[in-house]
Amino acid sequence: MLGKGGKRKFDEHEDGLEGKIVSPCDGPSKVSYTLQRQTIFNISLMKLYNHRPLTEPSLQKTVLINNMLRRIQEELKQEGSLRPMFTPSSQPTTEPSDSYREGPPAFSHLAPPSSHPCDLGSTTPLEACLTPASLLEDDDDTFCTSQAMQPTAPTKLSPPTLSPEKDSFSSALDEIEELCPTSTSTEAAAAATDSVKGTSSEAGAQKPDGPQESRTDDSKLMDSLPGNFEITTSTGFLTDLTLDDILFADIDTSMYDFDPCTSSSGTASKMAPVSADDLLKTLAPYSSQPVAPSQPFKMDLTELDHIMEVLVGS
Amino acid sequence: MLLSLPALHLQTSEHHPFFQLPHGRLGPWCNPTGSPAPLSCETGCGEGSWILVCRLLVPTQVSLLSMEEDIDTRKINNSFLRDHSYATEADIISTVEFNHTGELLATGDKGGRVVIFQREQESKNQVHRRGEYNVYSTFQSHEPEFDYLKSLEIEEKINKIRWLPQQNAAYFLLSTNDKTVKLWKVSERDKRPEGYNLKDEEGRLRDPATITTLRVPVLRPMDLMVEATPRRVFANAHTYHINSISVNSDYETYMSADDLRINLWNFEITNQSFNIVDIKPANMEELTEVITAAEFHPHHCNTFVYSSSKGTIRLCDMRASALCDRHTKFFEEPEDPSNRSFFSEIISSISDVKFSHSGRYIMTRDYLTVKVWDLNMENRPIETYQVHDYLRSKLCSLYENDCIFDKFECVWNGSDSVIMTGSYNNFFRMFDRNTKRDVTLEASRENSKPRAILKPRKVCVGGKRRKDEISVDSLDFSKKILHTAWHPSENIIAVAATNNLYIFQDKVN
Repeated sequence: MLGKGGKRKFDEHEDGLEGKIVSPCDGPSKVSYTLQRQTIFNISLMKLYNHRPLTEPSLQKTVLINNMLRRIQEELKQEGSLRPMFTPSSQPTTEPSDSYREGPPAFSHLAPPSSHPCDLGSTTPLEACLTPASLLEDDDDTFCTSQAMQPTAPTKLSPPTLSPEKDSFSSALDEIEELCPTSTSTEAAAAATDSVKGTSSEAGAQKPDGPQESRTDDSKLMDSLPGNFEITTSTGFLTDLTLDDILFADIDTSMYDFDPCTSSSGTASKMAPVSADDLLKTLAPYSSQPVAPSQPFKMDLTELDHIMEVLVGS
Repeated sequence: MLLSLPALHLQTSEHHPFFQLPHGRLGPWCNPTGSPAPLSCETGCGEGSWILVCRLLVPTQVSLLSMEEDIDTRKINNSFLRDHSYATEADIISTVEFNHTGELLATGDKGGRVVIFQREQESKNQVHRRGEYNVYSTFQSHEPEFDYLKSLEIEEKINKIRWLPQQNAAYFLLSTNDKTVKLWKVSERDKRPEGYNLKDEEGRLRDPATITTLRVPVLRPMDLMVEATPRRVFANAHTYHINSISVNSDYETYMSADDLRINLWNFEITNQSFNIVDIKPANMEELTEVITAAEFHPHHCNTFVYSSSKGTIRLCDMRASALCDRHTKFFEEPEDPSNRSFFSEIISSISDVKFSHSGRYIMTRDYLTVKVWDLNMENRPIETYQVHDYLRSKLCSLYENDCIFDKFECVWNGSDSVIMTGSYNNFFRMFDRNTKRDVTLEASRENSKPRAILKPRKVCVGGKRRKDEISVDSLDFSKKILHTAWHPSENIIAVAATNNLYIFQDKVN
């Protein structure tokens, strides 16, 4: 879709589905709505941090992306509030951002569940991980982590099990994938493409009263990145985004290892190259075991690497 | 120093396959007095009758061409100008504006340069060459700066140019980048004084001891020289990026709007301005809305409007209070629940707002539509035009590649009967408000034979694609027409496509 005269990627007879707004009332669409929401959430996060700070980022763009993230967060909060056991921990933006600015690595705040209204300890991440898979029938466990664009997962996805609609959205992402300059970004793009394969592009805004598992997973994912989000709202535009903010901010963002070569001139195809390995490292704790004390240590290393990179200017 | 394209005068009016004109004649459908053109019902948008007058490049490239009169422009088009390697990012046109008579056309580019084109005067010998615009003046308006406090670059890209009405022989325009507004004076010089006493002809000082007689310097004609001088620099008044400037109808003041504030300036005073709108919240974390465009009313010097990223327009009256945070009128259309999506808010963000010449209506452009509002009705627009609704199903991809944040502008024609805006793939759209007909045209090099009639384009949204149609997936989203301008009284339009400026006019028999 973004190419210059690129050929279409899907069957002609499915053209008619492009313009339709598919309501998320049927089973697969509920999941696809969640998937799309998650994808949009991830894209939004990447947008906020994938900016080479040569010139000031556009405030309008930042505000719109922030509003998008807030809205998704609100939705997840509301969904989560229907199940009192899994009240999401994402705080409203009025919470002081300083609490997330401390040195300790990203996910340490999940370790003491008592400090959070959300009692994560009562949820085993493994279980939460499995249930979306069960919802999706034939897909395996790793699908849940693929929501956050784990590159290895998509290869196991069998498209026929998901909704057969491969619409313009996924084909468009295919195009994006082709246009991506670096291999890591291609990976990430492929992950993004595959993870939402079969989603309808216009799931509408109706809230799915779908299975709580998907909600749980989402809220869990939200919990994993509330620090991110807080930083988003607080540093995205309130203070001027300098390198210091990124360095000393919640190091969640360090995993989004952005290629410093990306141009800031706003060309049509921009895709944040995400280091797949970093993502894997972050997501591994969730898929296999509860957050262990050793995990924060691993995060430290990643953070240090990132800081060293920036300092050395490589 | 632009080569005028040889005018290939087409003999007969070609009947366009889409729109057959009922009568052979094409009357002027833009009445200079501002009332709706009487023939608009017949000619519509004149869809079959837009012809390319000239395609202009920034002079740095054109200067490499020779200046011979009889050069074969088509040969040059094929060999030289078509070579993309000469186009640099600094040449991307970022704003286009006619002056109040339409005689001059100013463009600003990403490199901080302003290029002014002047309309070729009508002459008996070459009557068909009227309507072409040639370079009149070029100057560097803004330079890149560095903000040391924030360690950030300030782009020199010209965001907006606004002309002042002409009050003497010189022309005045305002040009702005993200932070600084400058008032430029463009004047002609065709005489120079000769015969100084203390200086010799080359300008060197003469030794006073050698001067034996005194003489009075006389003015002698010289080659016409157009010079641009910065007369005022209005700096350091905006924390955020300036997106609009608008000259007031009193011609003494103007306003500049950034994301959160609007300031009112007097042309004579550069070291202070009045803040008339401030929407910055006390806690920046609560910020959810920014100002996207602002404009003064064309006749009432106390009234202005500003649009927001949430799709609202506020009309303010400066007589009500010094700080116009409380609006006088609030224009917002309720959201259509059937079209709700994740991107509803983003696509409702207004990228441009323009008063009609009459002052009765305002036109707003959001991502997918153009809306016309009556100032007397706040709850919904009176007209809504779909610019490229086929993109509605692509919003997620467009969000990913940032195209959804593109800021398209919109313009009225002189009589407020036709509105025009840009789209992707170098398409631009015109909507006739009276006949409700619309047309999609393309500004491209492939189709730009001089005096060639523009063929309407069509995007197919599904099903079978006809021969001349282009499918949505084949659209080139890097070729976007964000900036267009319409001559104030005639049917001449200027369309900026990356680094090319196309000038079209309606064909007159």
